[in-house]
Amino acid sequence: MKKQQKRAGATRVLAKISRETLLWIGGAIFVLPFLWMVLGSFKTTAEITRIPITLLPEEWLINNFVEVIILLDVPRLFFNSCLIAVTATLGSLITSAMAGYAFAKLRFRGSNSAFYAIFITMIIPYFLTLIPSYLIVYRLGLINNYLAVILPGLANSFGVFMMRQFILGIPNDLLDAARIDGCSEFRIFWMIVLPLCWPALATLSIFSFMWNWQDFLWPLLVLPNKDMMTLEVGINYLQTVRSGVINYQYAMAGATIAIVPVLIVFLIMQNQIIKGVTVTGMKGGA
Amino acid sequence: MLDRRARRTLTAYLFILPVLVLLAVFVFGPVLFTFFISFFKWDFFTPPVFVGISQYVELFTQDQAFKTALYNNIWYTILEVSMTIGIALLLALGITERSNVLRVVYFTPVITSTVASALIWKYMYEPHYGLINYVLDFFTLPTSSWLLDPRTSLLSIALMDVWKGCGFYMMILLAGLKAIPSIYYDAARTDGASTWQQFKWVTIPLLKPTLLFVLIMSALGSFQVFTPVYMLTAGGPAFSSTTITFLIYKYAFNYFSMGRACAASVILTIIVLAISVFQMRMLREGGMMEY
Amino acid sequence: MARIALRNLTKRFGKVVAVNNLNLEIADKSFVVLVGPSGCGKTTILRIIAGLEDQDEGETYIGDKEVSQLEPKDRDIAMVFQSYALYPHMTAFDNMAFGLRAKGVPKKEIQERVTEAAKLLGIEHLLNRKPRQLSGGEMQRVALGRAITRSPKAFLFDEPLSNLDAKLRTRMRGELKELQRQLKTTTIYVTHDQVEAMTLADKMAVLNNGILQQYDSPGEVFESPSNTFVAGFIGTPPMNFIKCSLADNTLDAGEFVVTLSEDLASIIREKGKDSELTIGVRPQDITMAKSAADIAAPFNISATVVFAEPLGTSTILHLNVGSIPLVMETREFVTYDQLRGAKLDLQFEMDKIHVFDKNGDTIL
Repeated sequence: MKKQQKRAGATRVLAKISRETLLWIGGAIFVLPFLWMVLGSFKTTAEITRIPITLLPEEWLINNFVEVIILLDVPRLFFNSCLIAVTATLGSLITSAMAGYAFAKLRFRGSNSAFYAIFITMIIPYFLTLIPSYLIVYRLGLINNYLAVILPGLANSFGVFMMRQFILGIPNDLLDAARIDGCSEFRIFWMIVLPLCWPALATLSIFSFMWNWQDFLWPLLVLPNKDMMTLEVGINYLQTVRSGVINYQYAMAGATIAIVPVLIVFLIMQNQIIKGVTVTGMKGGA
Repeated sequence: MLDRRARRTLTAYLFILPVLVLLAVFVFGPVLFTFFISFFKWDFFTPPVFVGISQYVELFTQDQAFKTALYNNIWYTILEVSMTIGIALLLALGITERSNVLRVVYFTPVITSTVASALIWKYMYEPHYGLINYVLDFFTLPTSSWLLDPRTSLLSIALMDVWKGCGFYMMILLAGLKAIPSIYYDAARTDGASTWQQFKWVTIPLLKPTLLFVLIMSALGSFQVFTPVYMLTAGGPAFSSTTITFLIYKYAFNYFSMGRACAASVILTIIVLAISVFQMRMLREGGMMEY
Repeated sequence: MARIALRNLTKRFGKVVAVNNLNLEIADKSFVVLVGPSGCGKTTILRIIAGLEDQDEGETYIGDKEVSQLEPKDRDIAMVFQSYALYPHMTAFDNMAFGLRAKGVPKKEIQERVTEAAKLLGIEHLLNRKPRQLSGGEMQRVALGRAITRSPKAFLFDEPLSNLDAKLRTRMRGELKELQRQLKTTTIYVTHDQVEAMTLADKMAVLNNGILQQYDSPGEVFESPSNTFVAGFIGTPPMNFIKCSLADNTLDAGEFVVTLSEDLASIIREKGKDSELTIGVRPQDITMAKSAADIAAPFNISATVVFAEPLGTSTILHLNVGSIPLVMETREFVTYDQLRGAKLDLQFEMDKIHVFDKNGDTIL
């Protein structure tokens, strides 16, 4: 009897260990591309394309980074991306919160239809609106203008959803008290509702920022100018920097520049981000 | 002087006005417009010519690229979704709570820029000096031309997408797993169920709604994949990795065939909507609609 | 100048008529309580006065102004909620100052008014705390403070004491009443607790199903209820109701009779056109006959004790007169075992009997 239990116990431990090992190996494989990227960003193209490949760079060429930064005017691109992402995020927070508040707490005619309309927007694929949106922006003369990216990004139907859901949880008595105390609806929104929405706003801002930062196709189309483009679009151009053949040293350096800051921010804020993802996921599926 | 109810309605509409206006301008308007243009032949510079549904017909009958793209899309979605969700599920089951580090590790690709990731993978896929072939060769496994081979180009893109996306779905599945009350497991265990049986009778049924949600979300996303295609293969070689979205991009912004691009967009939308409707129906049956 | 008047007020929620053609005049500086069971419409009325709900018909007057079209913030009233409704992200001070800030009152004045109110309520030491750091009673006071600082034309209270424990509740009642006297502000108070209503009100408005049943001082409501609902709602234990019919000069209740004087009988005959009458008698007005002499009095009731509830200073006896149940309250302390199954002779205090026709009363 004991021997059986012992064997069962041993099998379990063995299973556990092998599972752990597999997961960690898998994790290592996952992280490998990043490692490779960083290593590659210090090599010369000659070294990168050499066969057999080398692991560690012969020389640690910081020059790669310098050249990329100058070539693309990375600070400028960074600024562009930041400006756009921050503005679009803040803007969408406010418009979403306002709409969310109205749908959650104000009774008015047509609220159901309006909400339904916004709901439909969530299902409509990006591509369907692409061409005319481009035309509109073109006609408005906004090509190569930050607004071309910011304006469409101000309305976030998913955001309206989230905010409405969250604001529903605010007790009505609080709002009534404020109404009696002398607040206009807007003041109630600004001084009472918004502060109480803090968690939802934080999560939404993370999502919104991430989405805006990573957006590729749209900025590619409407911000083609070298000094107006976003970081993502800029990195893309590293593919064709020298005579059609991909200059991998620059590509890797550029990729590192694009990824590392975001990675650092992520690692710092990981708890908040992960919590936000799972909560939203839960709402959708469970 | 407006009466109170009217004033209230007005105030409410002021609150939702920004969102509505923006959506009207950048979503509703464009949708209608796209639909409208799809019936015209238009090259952006000269006035449009009405052609009715001929462009739709052309896409399905004459346009080889479109047919290939459609075929590619279906293949791609099947590949990518099964791999992503499969791995995500395994990861979720394996990790379950214990290791925070592991969660972060697998989630990291999700938050990295798609463009940068694509560049890295492009480099790794290089047949001669790429990391992947090097490792394969090291273990004396067969190598491939990956992105340059029409037979494997789609798969290559899919692999990158899987790497990039499965962390996200793993998180959602983890949450779904966590939501299963442990009493069910306790009950099963006292009833004498083995680990596999517990999995089959407790985990799978209770995870179903989350699983379904994740499957559909992933399918929707992968059907509309664009950036990896653009970055890695530009649709080639020989249209072997062209997806519908990439084709739309090409038609609209390379060939300036606006009409045809719009028609293709409409077709894409119909397929995607079909998937979405399917999702909502499945979720509703599970009693999930929160709205 | 803050009397409040409601004229022909009606409010419907779908098919349900929550408030039915209400007419009410509330005098300036008075403390009026709206009391009634859940769903009688009292909270709805309060919210209409506050402006949080719109009425379907009728007019609301605060002071001399008709205010139906005014937003709550323009009506110059203050409300205290059952849930206190304190802004959780602000300190007690900010909560109390909120209304004043919204109206653009200068900082110095805000400081003065808030500290004054805080002093009045004994919460100065709590001003820098946030609501989650306060106890229920303390939060209640802050909510009160918030209302006081506004110096409104009227206070509206929506069951403010329901969330407090019994002891605190009784104490707060006293404080509230005293406060109102000091501040001399018109107050409308909603509660479902009739004891609370009785102790606090200058005048009570008893409501049922959206209809005003009686509007009088507590004494009047207790002594001269206008119908069986009011009579049965006010007073603990509740009044006994016994069906009877008029026969000559007696009220015949089946198991016993009550002899009346000629005058009383004729009044009843006049007012109670049909013979379906109800006798109402409060448990406190039933006494045990002490001597044979008493038995010879107008009537004589023979009752059997079913159950006795000794409460310390008094005992509540549940009796049966044949098939008619009766509840009486006596000042003597008796235990159940002492009286089980005992037969008692009872009598009613004649001038405390109420006689009701189908729905109203006729005599005191």
